[in-house]
Amino acid sequence: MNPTVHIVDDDTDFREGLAWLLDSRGLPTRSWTGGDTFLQAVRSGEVPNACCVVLLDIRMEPLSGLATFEQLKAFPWPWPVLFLTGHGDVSMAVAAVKNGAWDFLEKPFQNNLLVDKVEAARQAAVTLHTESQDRLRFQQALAALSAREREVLTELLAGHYNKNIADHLGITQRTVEFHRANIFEKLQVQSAVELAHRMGRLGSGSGG
Amino acid sequence: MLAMLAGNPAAMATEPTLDFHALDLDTRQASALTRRAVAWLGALLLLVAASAVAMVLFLRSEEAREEDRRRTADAEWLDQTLRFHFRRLEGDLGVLALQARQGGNPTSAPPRTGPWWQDAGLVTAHGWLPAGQADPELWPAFLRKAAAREPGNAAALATMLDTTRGLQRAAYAGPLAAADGQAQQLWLAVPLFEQGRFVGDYVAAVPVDRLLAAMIPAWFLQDHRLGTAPDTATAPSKTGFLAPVNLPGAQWRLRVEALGDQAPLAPRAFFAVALLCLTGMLLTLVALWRDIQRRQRAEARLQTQLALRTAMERSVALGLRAWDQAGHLLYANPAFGRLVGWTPQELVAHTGAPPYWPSEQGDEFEQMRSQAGDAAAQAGTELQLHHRDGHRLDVLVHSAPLALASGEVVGWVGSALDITERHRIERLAARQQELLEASGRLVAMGEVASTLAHELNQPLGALSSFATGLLNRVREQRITLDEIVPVVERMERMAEKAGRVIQRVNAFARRQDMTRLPLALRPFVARVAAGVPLPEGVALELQLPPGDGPTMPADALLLENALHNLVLNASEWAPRSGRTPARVRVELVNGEGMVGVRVADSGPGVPPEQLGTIFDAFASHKPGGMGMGLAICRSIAEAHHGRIEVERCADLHGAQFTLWLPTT
Repeated sequence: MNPTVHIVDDDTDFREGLAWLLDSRGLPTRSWTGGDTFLQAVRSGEVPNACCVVLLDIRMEPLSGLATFEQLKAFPWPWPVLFLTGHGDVSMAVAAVKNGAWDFLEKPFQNNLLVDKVEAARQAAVTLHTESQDRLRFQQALAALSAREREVLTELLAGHYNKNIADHLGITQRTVEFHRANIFEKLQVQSAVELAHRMGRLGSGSGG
Repeated sequence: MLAMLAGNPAAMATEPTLDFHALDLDTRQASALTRRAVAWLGALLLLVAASAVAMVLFLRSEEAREEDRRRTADAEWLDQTLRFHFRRLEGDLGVLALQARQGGNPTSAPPRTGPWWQDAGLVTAHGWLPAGQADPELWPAFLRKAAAREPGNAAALATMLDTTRGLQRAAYAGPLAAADGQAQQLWLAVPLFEQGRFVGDYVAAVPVDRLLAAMIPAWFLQDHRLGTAPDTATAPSKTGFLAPVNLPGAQWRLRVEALGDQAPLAPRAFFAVALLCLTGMLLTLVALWRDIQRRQRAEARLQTQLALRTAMERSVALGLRAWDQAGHLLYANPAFGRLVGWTPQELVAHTGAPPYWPSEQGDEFEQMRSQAGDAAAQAGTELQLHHRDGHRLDVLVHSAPLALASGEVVGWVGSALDITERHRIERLAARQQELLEASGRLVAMGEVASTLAHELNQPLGALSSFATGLLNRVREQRITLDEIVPVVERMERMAEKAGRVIQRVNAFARRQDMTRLPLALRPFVARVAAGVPLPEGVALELQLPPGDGPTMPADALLLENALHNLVLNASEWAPRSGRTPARVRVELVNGEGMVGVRVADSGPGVPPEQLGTIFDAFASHKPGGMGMGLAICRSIAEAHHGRIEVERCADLHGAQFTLWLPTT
């Protein structure tokens, strides 16, 4: 996994300097002349909605970095977005971070520090990617449970013992144990505690 | 008013008295009084009219009664007069009867005395009729002739004769128609008895018209016409009446008619005059009433006007006063009283210098009077007044002569508008404006700085990226010399780009040219320092040499900017030490070939660690400051080949900035 770094800046020198810098540290980069061209590429699928990092300059014409970010979030776009700010728009960048951006980099920056931050964002992207894969698998496994198994799962999550579950569902305790073993196997967990943990972390919501 | 002027008889003698208390007068009471008086007058008039009518009625009835009385009296008088004369005639006839009894001819020897016999025609016929000749056949000729005249005459005469015999006294008959036509006659018979035996009658005839003419006095006949009334007659008219004459046996009534207007003239005349007077009074009263109506309407209008003016006069915040010619305060309105803390009554009663007038402003009255005549002072004069509690007020004063309609000036009126608050608000507004402009400058400055940072950031950031990237590659020896050259060339271009930005900024900053012209420092400093809006409670002291002070070539606009900044800065810091009073002092000091404008304050002073950086740009220590003020001051000082210094002020214990400027 080697996430691409998308550089979105309308200043040619700056954009190419940044690309040159990141390239010197072996990071794969792709440059965009503005927020609109980048959004278009995302919409058309030219840029896959997959593990990557975006560097957005705040001050751009005609579409500003913040506006681009807003539209990007609507896709939705889980991947880290970093803002590049000049003097005076730090407060905007802080607001953007509160609004879900990964981080901001204030110009003029210590170049290698910048690369480190971008690297950290890339790691985060990879983690996110992995996690989303896990979630996907877990969701699929959940979907694969039979109706009776789902009932047993609900009882388990409610913290009942096998005996109580058998009474509640009107089945024998052995059958409950059988279902429970099946659930554990399908969801790839070792214990009820781990099951509850994974359900809490991955079980809710969609893949996003 | 009179009491006030009592101390000044000369003024009272020459001036018409002006009643300023009319301002407080309530006219409703007066008009109610007038209305009541009119009501009383109307009632009185009604009474007079009623009594006039009663008087007329009374007069009429009284007159009628009087007339009645007079007629009765006349009738009685006529009766008595005639009866008196007839009794005398009876006596005469008795004498004649005696003579006739003793023989002799009574007609030939009549008693020729008395009124009856002076007029020959008064007793037309008389003769003796002895007893035994009672039968009409035996009557003498004159009697028979009379009896033959009318059918009833004989019977009447016979009755008369019978009556004399029976009653033994004289009897009358008639009036009967006489022989000579229309003239009527009264017959009269007087019996004669001898020793109780009837011996005869002496009969006489008297024509009525002659009788009346002879026996009734002329004064009565002058205004009355007398005649015999027929038996059937009643009271003939208003002017006539019937008067019966009681002669036994005769049915004789006189008709008396008054000749001419007998009504008494005097009471009527008096009454007419009285009526005339009454009518005149009535007309006068009506006129008076209408006049009062008009007056009341005018008064109502006046009252409305007065109420309006009084309300206005009481509601205005403008203090008003009035003086007489001699300078005595005659009037002060409540607003003025509130303004200075004394009641108007106290002010008017006060003698000597007015208590609210600060003595160093000269004489109030003189000043006011000179101002009223001065066309240039129409915009008002700003003065100060003492309040009762000691604080001072700023007031705007106007004055004007108090002239009567005739144009005669009888006093002076002055108004005083409290502008303390206005001054405070003006200062506050100026201060707000200053702050607004400062914050505006701050925003503009921030915008400039932000733009500049962006402009420089782009090439510098790119330059730095290229350099780091290059360095990374060179360190890892991943780059060939051929690859390095274009990158370095590009970096050079970007460095040039950054340089151009700086050049543009410089060009912009130097756009304002400086013009140094000779400047007289003292008035300049005084003007600029006084123009700085000071916060509440900060006192500005100017210690400047007399005259214009030194003159030097300077750009007045730039220098004003610098000095304004310094004074404003000092006035903002002065109150922050907590020492009172907060003071700012501006003075001129002399150095070697230089003149210093020194601005000192009583503030906390400059901490020693800030002394080195205080003139640097963006080094503000003031909330909301952008740190450009002192930097600009230094730039301006340097542009004038001078310098600026900061130290601790020895006596005010605050900061002390000195702007040194060369004199040449």
